[in-house]
Amino acid sequence: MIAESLCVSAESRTEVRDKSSDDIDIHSLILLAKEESVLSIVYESLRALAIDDEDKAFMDFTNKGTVTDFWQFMFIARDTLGLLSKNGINAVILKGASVARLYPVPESRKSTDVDILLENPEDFEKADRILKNAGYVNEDHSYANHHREYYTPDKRVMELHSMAVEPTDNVKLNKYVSERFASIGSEIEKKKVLSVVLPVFTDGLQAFHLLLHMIMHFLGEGFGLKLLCDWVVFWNRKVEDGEVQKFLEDVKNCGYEKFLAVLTGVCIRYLGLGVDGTGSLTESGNYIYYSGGVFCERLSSETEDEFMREIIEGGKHKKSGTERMVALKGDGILDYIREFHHQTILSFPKAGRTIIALPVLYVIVLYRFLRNNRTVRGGQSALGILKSAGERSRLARKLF
Amino acid sequence: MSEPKYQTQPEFILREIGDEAVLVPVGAVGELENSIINFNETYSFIWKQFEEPHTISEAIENARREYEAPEGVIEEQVKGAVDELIKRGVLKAV
Amino acid sequence: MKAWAQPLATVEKFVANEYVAACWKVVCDLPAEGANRFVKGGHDLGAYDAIGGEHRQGSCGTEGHYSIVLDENGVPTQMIEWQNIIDKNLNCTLYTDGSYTAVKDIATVTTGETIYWTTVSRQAGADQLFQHYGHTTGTDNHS
Repeated sequence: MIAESLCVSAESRTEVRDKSSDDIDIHSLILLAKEESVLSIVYESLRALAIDDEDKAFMDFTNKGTVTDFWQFMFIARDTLGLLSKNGINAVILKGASVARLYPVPESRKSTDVDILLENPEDFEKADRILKNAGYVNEDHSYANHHREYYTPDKRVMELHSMAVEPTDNVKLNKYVSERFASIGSEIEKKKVLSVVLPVFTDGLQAFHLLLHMIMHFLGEGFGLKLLCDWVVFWNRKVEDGEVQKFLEDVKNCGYEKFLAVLTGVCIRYLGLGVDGTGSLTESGNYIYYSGGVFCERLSSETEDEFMREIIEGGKHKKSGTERMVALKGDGILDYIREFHHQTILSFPKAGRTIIALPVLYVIVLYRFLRNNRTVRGGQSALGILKSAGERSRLARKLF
Repeated sequence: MSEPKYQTQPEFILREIGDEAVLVPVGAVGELENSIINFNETYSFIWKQFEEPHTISEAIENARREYEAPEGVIEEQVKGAVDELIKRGVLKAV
Repeated sequence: MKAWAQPLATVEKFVANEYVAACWKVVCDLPAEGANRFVKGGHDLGAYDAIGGEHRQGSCGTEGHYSIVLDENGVPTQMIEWQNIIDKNLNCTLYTDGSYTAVKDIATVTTGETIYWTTVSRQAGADQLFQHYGHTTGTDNHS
């Protein structure tokens, strides 16, 4: 469904829709999409299914909120950047609108705040004074983690950053990242986001920043489908070879090749990256290519499955009291996932032959598995078992 | 004298997402800055009549072709909506 | 031909001190207070204890689980419990206090106020009355 929303195929969508209405618990699918902050992204696809009035009302209400927030944050970004620029301070948008602009419907990418990075960290206190004079409020005057949080005059959150990403515990890596983002002036460009002009990173640096941000989340709180969607829309478009090469150089210097491989592999398998044929990446054998050469060498499908499982379920330990618990009986999910293609073809015989629809169907089939396998073992949730230190560390060790 | 034609202004863009239509002021537009305007279907229809220059009579005629309503209702309400859009600077005479 | 509807446009303006949100959030305070089941004022339905009526952080204790919908003047018109796992969207009935006897006009609710409300949810085939109390939080969004 996410892949369907991110790249379109009318014929396949019809069959998927017809089949999906019969087999899918739409209500639970909507809740899952909301939890993963992708409800607006799949909004149009979900509406095309047979949904009842109450689910439609919920989706419409949620979607309206996402759209309203998008525009409010766009205005905040435009006005804040304009204010800083008037006072001789250059800055760039991180995430948010800079990524949303790549979506088929930019307003569908949910945001909860605006992140702005100063081109020159030494401008920080001056920027702070300018913002406060303009009515931005920061109640905690500390400067935690190289960023400061403000409430804008219309009571939304704006974060001002002096570093592109938070430092890790790897000194050498921190030094590289710090130097990489030290002089970014030539890698900031003005882009129109639905008629509003905003400064964003050039593609190579944008890709690197997205990757760093995902790694930070993966090693920390866990991240969800929304960040994967960002990766899909970024690469499902033409990125110049020079920018790809810059990005790959950064990845190599940080030793993040495996993470890149598993991330991209999962997006290809489950979320429709590359299937339209119009993007920057293609796959052949064990490799993913861009027009200038090798993008990455894929990891095993087992590792990709493990990564996908971690994304779908790993973040949920933070959502206390959730009624959705998923049990994994040993290798059950991996066994099931190996059958994905076969099951998908069986379930959707016509659409299964259409490559564009396949990723959509994979997501639906995966969703069904998760829905159908909810149990609690021995007083400890299966989620807790998954989240044991050993499991996560093992995956992290494979990737870093 | 021929009837004046009106057209939408580039400082406003119409975004249609699902069943929602939202008019967004993206330029310097005075009192409507930093806001969004939610349109229902018929308001959205009226706005779209003026994406190319058209007279109010043409817009009313197109609305009558598309919708049914008691006599005089469409004419009155289209005129009212257009007057409002002109007053707010969303439409201008060309 | 489609039926004509009167053209309607509503402005949502994002300005300092004037921003009128389209909704408020509501949180049930009982989970934070460690409550499990909550029955008050003699409104215990026969099957209530047997089936249970938990107040949990993950449901009624979560921001976004409820919304108070506002009209264009910022006046509350409706309170909804979103996507209750059984019943989908439930309408909430507000009361003036914890006796749950006198119904409160939702239009009189203000942001930051402690409110008392009930929902009736179909659990295990029977209607169950759930009584909550909590607080409204203003300004923020509905997502």
